Amino acid sequence: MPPQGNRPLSSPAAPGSPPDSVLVLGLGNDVMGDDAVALHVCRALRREHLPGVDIVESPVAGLALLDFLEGRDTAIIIDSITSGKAPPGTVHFLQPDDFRGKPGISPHFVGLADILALADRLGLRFPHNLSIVAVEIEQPGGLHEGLSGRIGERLPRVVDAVRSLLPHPSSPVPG
Amino acid sequence: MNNQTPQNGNRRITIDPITRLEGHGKIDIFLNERGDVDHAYYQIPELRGFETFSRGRPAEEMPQITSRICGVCPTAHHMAGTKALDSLYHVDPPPTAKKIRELIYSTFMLEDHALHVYILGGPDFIVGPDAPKETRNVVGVINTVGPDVGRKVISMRKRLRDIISLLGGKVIHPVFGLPGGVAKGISRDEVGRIRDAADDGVEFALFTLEVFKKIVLGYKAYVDMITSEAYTHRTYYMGMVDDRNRVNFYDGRIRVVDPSGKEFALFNAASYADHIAEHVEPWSYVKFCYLKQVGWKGFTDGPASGVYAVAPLARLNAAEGMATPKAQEAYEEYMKTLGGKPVHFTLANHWARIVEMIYAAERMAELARDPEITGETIRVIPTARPTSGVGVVEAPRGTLFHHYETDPNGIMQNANLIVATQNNSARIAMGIDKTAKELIHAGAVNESLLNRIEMTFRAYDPCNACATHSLPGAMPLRIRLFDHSRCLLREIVR
Repeated sequence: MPPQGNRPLSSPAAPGSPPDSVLVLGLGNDVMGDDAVALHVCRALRREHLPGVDIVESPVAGLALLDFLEGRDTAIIIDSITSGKAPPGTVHFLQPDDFRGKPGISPHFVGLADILALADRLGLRFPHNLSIVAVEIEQPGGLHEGLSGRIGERLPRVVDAVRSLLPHPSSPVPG
Repeated sequence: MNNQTPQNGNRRITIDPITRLEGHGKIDIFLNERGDVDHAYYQIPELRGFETFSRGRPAEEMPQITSRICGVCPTAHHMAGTKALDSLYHVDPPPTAKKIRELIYSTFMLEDHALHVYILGGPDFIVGPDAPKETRNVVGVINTVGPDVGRKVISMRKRLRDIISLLGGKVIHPVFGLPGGVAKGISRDEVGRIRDAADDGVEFALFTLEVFKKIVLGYKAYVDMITSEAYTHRTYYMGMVDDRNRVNFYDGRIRVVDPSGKEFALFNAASYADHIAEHVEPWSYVKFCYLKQVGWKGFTDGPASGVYAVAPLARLNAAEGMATPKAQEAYEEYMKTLGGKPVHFTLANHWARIVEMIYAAERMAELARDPEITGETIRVIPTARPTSGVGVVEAPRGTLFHHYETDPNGIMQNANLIVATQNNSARIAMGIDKTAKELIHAGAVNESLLNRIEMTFRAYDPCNACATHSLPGAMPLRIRLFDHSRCLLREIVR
């Protein structure tokens, strides 16, 4: 999937209501090497104490995404990706439309596409500003902790990429 | 997947990967010159490096570490690990602690089984195996059962997960289990909420049974498929039972019945190595479990072959009934409809899973009403020197063994896990081979046939190297054709 370009998300808050926090959701598994890259991004961002940003780490996808995304207006999902079409460390900027229309690729897999389709079908309140930052990795092998040198070196760039998607703190609230 | 034109010579069809969420698998199907199936291989990548990873760590970390292996059933690994620590430290938890553990575990089983019935397996038997692939997904399920049912499923799931969080800490990385007990008791204020969720859970499970009866059993073609020879294997079955030989997920002895349903073995977790052995094949990393006292006779069924199965179908076969009333009714109806015990039809796993949902919900409701559940004694502090410990639970996908050995300071020296899918691996491999042989003839390979082969293993809900999480790449399904000399003829992606 080609990079979509990064663009800041607009603030979701309605007039008169307090600005909603932005969810930054990092997905990955801490004991599977580079699969955990998004968790490391979350930890780096958390150290910055960004106002209005809610940082959540999770090792599961599937229906658990419902728990995190339902009721949110703005969310950024960070995950690893194994597209095999770009060198490890490449940052992909994806939008929900990149996933929509893809349910059904495997009947057994409940992925983001299915979750978005399910939310649509059931009329659940889901983020209308949703971005996905995916870091290309090689398919992880056995169990181990820590990132490979290649992905570790790219970590600051991934953090920058996610930060660039956050609404600017000084941006006026539209509406 | 496209229809294939028969080629001269042998062809190799590869479906890779089968699934993303619960690990990768690969099916290689070799066709002979006539275009019939010569042999089909089911391969699962092994979970590598676990022993090395665990060595040198304090044993107390194991329930947390192992719960990270699987993003789908962390609670099962956490519980097996916790019970292995009880055994390692020679400590027997107080009754309240055991009941709290079982309450959490029953909640988890209900939630996980519901997820499979509606979301993972649902596309096969709710939407239908012959439905276009574009509709065989979660949205297709919702369109079939209706959005109200969809909302009910989502809402029930959320309530159950909230209960697990309330009782056990984080759903994803549970932290409640400690050697000798649990970290946190249940207050009287919390019991009411749990009881309400449990009662609704019973209603929900019974409702699911009705949905299944209406959608699946109401159609003869489905029933014919479930009971067809293509999905039948007459193997041994394993499952945990209580002292009256009824299904138990949390504790008890392991019971094995032979292909005629007679008890073959009944043993405690600690002696698992006397009963289970592993066979290695050159074409697979997977170790195929078999019954040691019967022996490995190849990928074949019948009383002379040590191949056995675990998971819902096997649990119901290995037991003599359910410990709760509505689940027992559902069990009897299931057995009667399918021709009596043991049921050898792989696709009956889905129905068996619903019977177990009812049991899990009823057991939750019982435990929530048990006066001891709010007891204050929730842990016995271990004092004995650690040596070796085995813990076993019935995970949603079948019997799960954790075996730890430590030095006198409780530092891990060795670890062995037998995960559910490993127990089932020989029977799954047999199922793939048999289904392929029965459903592919003269080179006729189409979407429906391949899907039905996938259905064979999906019935087991296989949980393979299920640890990674990455977003799916653009190639979730790949079919490769090879000629008789195994040169790649063609690659098709769907």
